[in-house]
Amino acid sequence: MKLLKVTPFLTLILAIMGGSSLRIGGCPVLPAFFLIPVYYWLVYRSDLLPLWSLFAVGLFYDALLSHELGLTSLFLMLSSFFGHYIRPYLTPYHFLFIWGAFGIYSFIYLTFFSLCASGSWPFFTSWLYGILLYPSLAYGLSHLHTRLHSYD
Amino acid sequence: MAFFVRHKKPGPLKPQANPYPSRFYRWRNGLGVTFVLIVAIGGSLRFYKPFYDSVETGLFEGTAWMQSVFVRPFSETHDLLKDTYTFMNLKEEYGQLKQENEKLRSQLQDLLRLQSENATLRQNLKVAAFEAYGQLSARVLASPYDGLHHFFLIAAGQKEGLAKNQAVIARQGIVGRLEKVGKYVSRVLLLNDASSRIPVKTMISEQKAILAGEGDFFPTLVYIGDARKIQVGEKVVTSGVGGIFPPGIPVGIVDKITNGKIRVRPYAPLQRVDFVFVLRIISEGFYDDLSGALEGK
Repeated sequence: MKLLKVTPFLTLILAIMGGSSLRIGGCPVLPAFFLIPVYYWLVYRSDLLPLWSLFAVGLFYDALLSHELGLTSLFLMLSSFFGHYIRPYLTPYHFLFIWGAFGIYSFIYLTFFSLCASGSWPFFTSWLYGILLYPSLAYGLSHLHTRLHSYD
Repeated sequence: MAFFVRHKKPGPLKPQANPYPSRFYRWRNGLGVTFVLIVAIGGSLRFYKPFYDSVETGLFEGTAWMQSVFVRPFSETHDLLKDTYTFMNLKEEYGQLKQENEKLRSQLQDLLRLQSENATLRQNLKVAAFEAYGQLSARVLASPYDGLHHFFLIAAGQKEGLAKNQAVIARQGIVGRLEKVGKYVSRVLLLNDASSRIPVKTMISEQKAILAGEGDFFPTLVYIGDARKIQVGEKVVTSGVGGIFPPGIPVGIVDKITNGKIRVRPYAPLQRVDFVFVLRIISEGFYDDLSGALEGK
């Protein structure tokens, strides 16, 4: 069942492709929308999202959304890098705590992203959509997660 | 009820073989080293232009193709629903089209008369002929958007003879220009993108200006001859300066003037465009010269 190990990677790609055409009230849900699976897998199964896969996901995002190649890769890899040290402090028994931490993570990510990317950007709406959509998407991801557990 | 997956508590430690047989393996598998390696290799290749260009083109084509395949079922479903609605209102639509056809027929008569008159006047005044424009229609595949860049992916590319910087229009007016051209898919930079600049002129006050996108829906007019002469409601068309956009193509209407900032409402409904037309200036080497001039060669 080695193929199942690419499930987190595929969820990221699908989140990018699905989110890129999705707008709520004229405002885009990306990039906060695709940060949900990134955060989820980095918290629960960081071993299935190695740096190489995050690098590839970042390139895919930049190529599709017409950004400078490598910008998202760098931010995602930094997320993984810092997540490695912060992860032990995140207790998975309290959903509200994990949800709140996602709010902080996505805020920091979007702040850096908006500083590095040029042009106007509906930063706040994207962040808000990310927070609001987190429970429903995390619910779906948790089912995938349990399925992965059963194959471990 | 456990909605979310919880981590299992770690059990007692079991004796197992050392996963890192040597200090070198431990160093090689370290997170920091991998990070530094990827950043160093990726970063240095980023500044080697031939490599970067080929990677960028390959990734663009690959991702555009994947995106088009992904959105296909959704767009097909949308079309099916639209067709069903049209079928239900077929009789009314037929009546409307018949009426429109009659109107267009009468307009065509006037147009033919004007065309011959125009040709005679041009001949008499010895005005140089405009370059001929070819047209190619292409379907809009998707419009990925994350709040930064406004663009369309269209189902046409080098195979159809498209080239960078060609003008893209819709039935109502200017949409943008070709920013990147792949073999089968191309990217259209929309006129409201922050990096879009289109030479235009106003119809009544006849002021030349540049239409600059600002990232939101309404682009603004900059570098205007005399901004005081421009009025709200004035039509804006392309001026033809620069050679990319032919003169006289409708762009939009002056919507608002606030604190000297003139905002233009584009005619083309950028959210609902299904098909676009790519204008091809039939002149060999034009785009090569243009690209050379823009890159300062």
